[in-house]
Amino acid sequence: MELAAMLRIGLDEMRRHWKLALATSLLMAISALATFVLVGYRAGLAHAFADLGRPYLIVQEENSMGEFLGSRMPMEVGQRLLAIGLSQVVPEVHTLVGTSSENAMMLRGVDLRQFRETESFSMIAGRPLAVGSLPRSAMIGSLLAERLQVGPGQLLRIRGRDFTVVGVFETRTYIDNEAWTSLEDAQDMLGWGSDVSVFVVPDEGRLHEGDALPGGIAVARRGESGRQLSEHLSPLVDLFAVIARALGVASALALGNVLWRLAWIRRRELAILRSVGFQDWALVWYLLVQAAVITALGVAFGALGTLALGPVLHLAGAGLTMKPEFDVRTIAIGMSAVVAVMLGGTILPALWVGQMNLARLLRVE
Amino acid sequence: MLSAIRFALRDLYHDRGRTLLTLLGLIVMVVSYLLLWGLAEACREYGRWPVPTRNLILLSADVLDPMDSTIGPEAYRAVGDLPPGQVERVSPSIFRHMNIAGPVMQVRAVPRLDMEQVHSLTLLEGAWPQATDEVVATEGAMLAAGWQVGQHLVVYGSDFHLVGAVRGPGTKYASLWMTYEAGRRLLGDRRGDQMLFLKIAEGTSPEEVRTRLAADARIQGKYDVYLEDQLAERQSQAIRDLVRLPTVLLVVALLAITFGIYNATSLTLAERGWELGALRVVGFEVGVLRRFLYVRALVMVSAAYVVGSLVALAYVTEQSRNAPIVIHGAALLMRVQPGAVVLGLALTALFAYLGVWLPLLQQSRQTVAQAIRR
Repeated sequence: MELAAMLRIGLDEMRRHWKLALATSLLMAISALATFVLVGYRAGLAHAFADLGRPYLIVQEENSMGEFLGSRMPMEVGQRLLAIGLSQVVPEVHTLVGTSSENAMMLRGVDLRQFRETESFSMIAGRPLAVGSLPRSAMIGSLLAERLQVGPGQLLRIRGRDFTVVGVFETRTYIDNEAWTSLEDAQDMLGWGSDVSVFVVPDEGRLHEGDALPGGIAVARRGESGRQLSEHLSPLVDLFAVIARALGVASALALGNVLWRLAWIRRRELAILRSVGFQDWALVWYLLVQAAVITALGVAFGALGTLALGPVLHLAGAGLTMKPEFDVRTIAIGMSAVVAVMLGGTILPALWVGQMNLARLLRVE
Repeated sequence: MLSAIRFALRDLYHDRGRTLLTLLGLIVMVVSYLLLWGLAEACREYGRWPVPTRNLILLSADVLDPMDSTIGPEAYRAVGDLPPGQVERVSPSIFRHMNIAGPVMQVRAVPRLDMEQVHSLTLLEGAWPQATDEVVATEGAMLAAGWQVGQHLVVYGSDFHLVGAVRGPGTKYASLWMTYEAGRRLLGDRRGDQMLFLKIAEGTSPEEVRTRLAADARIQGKYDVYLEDQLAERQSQAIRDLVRLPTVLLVVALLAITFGIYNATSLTLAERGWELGALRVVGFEVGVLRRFLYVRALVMVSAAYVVGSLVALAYVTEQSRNAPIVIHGAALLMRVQPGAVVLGLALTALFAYLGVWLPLLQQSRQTVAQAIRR
């Protein structure tokens, strides 16, 4: 009964001060938008550089990020790896081609006989590369296909040479930015002779992460380069997080201010309600219902704003496309942050309402 | 005007609890806005630092990262055939991006004398590297990796002694330098030199030499020839592409400030309908009330901007001194921009005016009797 009455009064208060409620909800929307964008990017980065397959290690040049670029080793290293008893040694070429950030492309040369044993992907169009594929054939990731608007049967220019796209694959990681050709095509295009970037080897106890091999060669966990690249961007994301949190604090302060003042305007009515037996918690409901209305409006506006910004938030550069990702978990995290802002904004006026001196308030006039 | 400010200050002091709450919220928003502006500007300017050199750089054609470049003997021959006196110094350079101690940084191996004469490094502490197990690091690298002069480092599996700290311009902000001989010993000669620097003699146009070299049959299609600042700008494009994100967020933060101040001023009016009606009873015009309320809002906004600018300045100074954001060997240097303060203040003042004007418009339509009715 008390609860229903307080809900009704709270809603009535919002209707009476609808312009104020709207302005405050826009402020909440801004905080919600910043939170959604941040959480979305974090999820996008985590997804893009997710675990790429624990059972494998990478043998690459020491101190390099061989799964992107920078590592180059003679093919003979592969023979040395087989000689120590590894059951599988899969050579790959990785580099970034292009002349500028706009036309940069991540290139991978794969051993057509073995790459399907170590790579997991699904084809979304066309067919994969296979032994016997024509020279100058390529399969490309979905993000690259989307960025360049290229599909199976069409030509893709890599380092001044035309390749026929035979298929489009998807891994739902940063690898979807890559173009894959045969190892020989990649080596020929780069003028590397028989050199390769990395060897993918199974983690079967013969080599360990961090091992150093003669000739400036090191062993790393597969996916380590992605983790390093992700860490590379983390100071920027951390700064955005500081700012999103600051906007959350500012929204909580603004919400608290509005609720406090609205309660102050209605202090006499609230005092009468208490004098006729309404409990303190009923008054807290009065504040919470107003906070919930403002927050719900804010979340709705914030979500609409995030959707409207959609394409603007897709960042492309140096061969990588980054975009925020929204799934149930991301939305739940964003909503939790917004609810925390709402509760934070309700605490101060709730404390004040709880400490109201009944006699003093009734003496107001 | 002065009496309006005095009156506004007294009023704000009277409601000090709520004034403090409003101010705190505004200050937080102002700091966020100024930091985002600083970051957006830092991204936009990344790689566009003036490079005080007359250097040309040769690297393999169609290469985005210099470490993928290899300079062959034909490039040296083409440079050797340039008219005498045009090139003051030819400096080979071995270049790698390496992940040595956290952030990825550049490792460069160049002839010892060229560190100063071609690459414009200045020694800040310690000594220049002489032996093949000695390196110097730029101040950005020292800060990012937490190194001290005198300590030992492991680079590419070999031990090195960090003998000095240097300052490097532009994209050399976070880099590790060793002599050319040390680089060859460490990395071998299988991948050759990655870049060839040409210091162009005074009185010769670098652009003219660049055009002549680019037209040479031994260079055409195999190598690209850049002015040093052009290359730095091109390499930094990927970071500049990130500018869109802080720009979107700074617009968001600016909107937050404007809604915040609109809220604060209209709230004051919602709360004081009766008092304002009473002032009208004793003869105050709506215009006078509007002016007073606007001055009150401006005082709050100005205070928020002064404090917010100081906090943002302190944050940026602290960050650039102790924990700069280093990406690909170069720092993103944030600054508090006076233009951002002025623009933000002007827009906020405009919205504060709207926050006063709109609710008062409604009140001015009421009779005095309606206004003072509780």
